[in-house]
Amino acid sequence: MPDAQEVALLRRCQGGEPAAFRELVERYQRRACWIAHNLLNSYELAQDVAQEAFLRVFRHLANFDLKKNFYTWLYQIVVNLCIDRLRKLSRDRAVDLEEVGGATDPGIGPSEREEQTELRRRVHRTLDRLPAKYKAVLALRDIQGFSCEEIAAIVGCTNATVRWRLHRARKLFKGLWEGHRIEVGGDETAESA
Amino acid sequence: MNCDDIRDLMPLFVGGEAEDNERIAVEAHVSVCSECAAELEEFRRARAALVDLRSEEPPLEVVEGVGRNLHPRPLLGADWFVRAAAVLVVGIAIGFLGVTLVRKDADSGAGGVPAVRRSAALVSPGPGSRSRFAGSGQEWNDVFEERETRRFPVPRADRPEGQHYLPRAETVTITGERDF
Repeated sequence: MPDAQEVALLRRCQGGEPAAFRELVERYQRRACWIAHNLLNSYELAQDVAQEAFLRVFRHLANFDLKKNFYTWLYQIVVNLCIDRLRKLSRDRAVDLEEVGGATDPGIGPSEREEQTELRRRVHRTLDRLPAKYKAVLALRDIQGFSCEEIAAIVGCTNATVRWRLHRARKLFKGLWEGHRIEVGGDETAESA
Repeated sequence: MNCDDIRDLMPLFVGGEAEDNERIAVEAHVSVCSECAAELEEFRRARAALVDLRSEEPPLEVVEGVGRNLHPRPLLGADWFVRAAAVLVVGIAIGFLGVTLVRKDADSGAGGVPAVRRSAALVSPGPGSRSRFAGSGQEWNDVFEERETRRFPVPRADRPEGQHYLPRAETVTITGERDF
């Protein structure tokens, strides 16, 4: 259940108050952008997707049920937009989008920082080889720290399905991480979602 | 449970999603099976690499750029009705102005639609003039002469370049008799 302060903010947004919507965007833009980056591995695309998500929220906020959690709805839009974008990118055979530019641990030296950056690049490369639906649950669980229930609400499936996808995603990720050739059968190709 | 069963539980075990009985089974098995313990360690290392990305937040300028370039216009705000009414009034005004201009052009003959300008003058027969019916026994009637100035569009082929319509004037004289 959402807290009273957020419900009041959402009511003001539904009333058409621009300042309220700005406040809503400031509250959630960091996480929205971050989730999008986890899935797209590009800050430019992540920003684009986050903006598009907020525009959609703005258009449909009047119909939003205030009894539900706003963030699950917003992140659902972000994840779906990312999956759409990933499908399009794999179809268009886009160039490597790899971007690693986020904050590194400030307490480590330059060589360690380089090592950390290289490690993160490898993680992103491995993530990029996963089908979109597995990448989404893995990012939401292991990077963003959402519970299985929250992930189920975000991706629009049952708790059992989330657990199954997590199981499959971690197995695939571990195999790719170790450099093994992984056969992903059926519709689980690296380009499909 | 054999090694295959235990390894099948490992992906959820490392993330804390395993059920209690599953968790106990894995912990008990890896304490006695070094191969499964090594496999579990591989799963932990792979997951740790993912968890490390929790400190890789996007740069501030990227985050702030989301809201900076976002200027949604209210589609249906509280005053939508006023806006719709305003649009309607402006549309009617433009339409009315357009019709007025067209009519004005037609009346002034300044490139308007073919118009008929009538001027009527009562022309009384002058001395010496005779009705064509003179001698017929018919009463002399006032003769009126009506002039009609009609404007016709120039055929397309004859129009100078750039002009869509060029009127020409043709005066037609109608003479007739009318009983008063």
